[in-house]
Amino acid sequence: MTSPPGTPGPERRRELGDDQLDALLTVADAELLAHLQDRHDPSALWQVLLTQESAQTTTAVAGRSHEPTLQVPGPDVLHLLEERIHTCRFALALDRARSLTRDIIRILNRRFDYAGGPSHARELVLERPHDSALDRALALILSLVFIRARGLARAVDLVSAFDLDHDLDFELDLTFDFDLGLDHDLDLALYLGHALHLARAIDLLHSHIGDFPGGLAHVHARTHAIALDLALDLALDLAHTHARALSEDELSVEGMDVSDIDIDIENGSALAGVRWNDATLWPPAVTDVIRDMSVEIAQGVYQVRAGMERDPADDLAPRL
Amino acid sequence: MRDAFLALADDEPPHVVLFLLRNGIGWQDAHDAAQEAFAEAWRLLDRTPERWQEVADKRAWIRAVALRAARRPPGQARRQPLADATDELPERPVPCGDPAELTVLTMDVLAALRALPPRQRQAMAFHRDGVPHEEIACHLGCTIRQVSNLIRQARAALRVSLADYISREEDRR
Repeated sequence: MTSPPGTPGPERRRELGDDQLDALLTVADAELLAHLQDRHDPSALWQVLLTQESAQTTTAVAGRSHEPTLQVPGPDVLHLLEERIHTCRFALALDRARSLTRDIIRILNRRFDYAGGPSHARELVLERPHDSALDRALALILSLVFIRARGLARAVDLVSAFDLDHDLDFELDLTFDFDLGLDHDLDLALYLGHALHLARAIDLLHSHIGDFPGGLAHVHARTHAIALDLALDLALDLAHTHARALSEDELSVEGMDVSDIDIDIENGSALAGVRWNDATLWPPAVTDVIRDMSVEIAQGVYQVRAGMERDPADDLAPRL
Repeated sequence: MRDAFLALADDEPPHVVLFLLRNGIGWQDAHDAAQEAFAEAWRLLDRTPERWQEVADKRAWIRAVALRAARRPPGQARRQPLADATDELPERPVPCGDPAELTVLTMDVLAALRALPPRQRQAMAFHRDGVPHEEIACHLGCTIRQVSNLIRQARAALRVSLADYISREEDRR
């Protein structure tokens, strides 16, 4: 049985004509464009362009034009630069974690003093704000070490569990960067071993937090916090040792465009010993700092010194 | 040359975002990638102006760069605005607006475009922006005839998928 001619059967798919399709597309395009133009805020784009302009203008003022074409740094150079920066970043993160651990020990010491006192209940009420601070600090340290020990996913879960704020996310980002950068020839076993020790110590410490000021549990918490402090000391020593080993390799970025490396002022010391010249293109945000940290070691060649201090007499490096 | 670029950067970004939306890119990613493409163009213009001069169809070039940026694999960071004093200012609201403000027709068209195979979608997006077939062929790495075929296939698919919209509208009336 067939349908009468000209009568579309129920199974037949309807199609638009070309004119209908063009009309629909034109109407949708017009609406989308109007929507986008209404909400278009050019300031973000101008900011990017102006910042680049500013960096380029500063370069021109130096009066030492770049070579027509800059070299793209090879993978070895990039890898070494990134590993230096990541190690420096990780050392700073460990230092922050250690500082937090010491805060925890101070809080626990005060709690320990209160534990047997007659005004115990009142003091506990006064100390309530420390509970959240303690949890946050522990979660931060957890996030720092769990990255190595148990993977990023676990750390992210912990962050969610502790409902931490933007600062912790930032720390996690730093640590994640470190994780990506250290997958090469670093002595992973050492880091992993220490991270596992740290994780175990923090686990134990955290399990006791809910029992404040539960006598024996409290003592355990203090013991673990002190152990954690020692472990962080060791991890920090390792990071510094690794940073020193990395800085022994000679590294030159003369004539290279390294403007894409991910470095900030805080990690400037990661570049200690690196040689560069007038043609080197650094990330604009750190060019002045690198210049201030550098000394001229040959005609037009500079070397980044360790530390941020600068002798005012050393005004040899060009303004970038 | 710089004046011409600044004029382009003044007017073109919403069009580039529209191009990316037609390619199935999300709203925020489309805005970010459009911005990155203009920054890339600015760098090219400043460092090697002769190469920028050689770019025959600058609108098409920026679209191709933006599309590449938007489709970069996860984990490869986009070029971010450089830190400067303005970073201390409060963040501006995301300029994307709310897609929910759009009509059903526009959303249906976007959905229909998103359902196309990638190369048909790209060819159609360039074509809708008036980019010549030879330029599209250059960016897609194919022949002009293949571009024509891709566009024809895309239109055929859209004629079917958007017919549902017309049916619904007729039923509603």
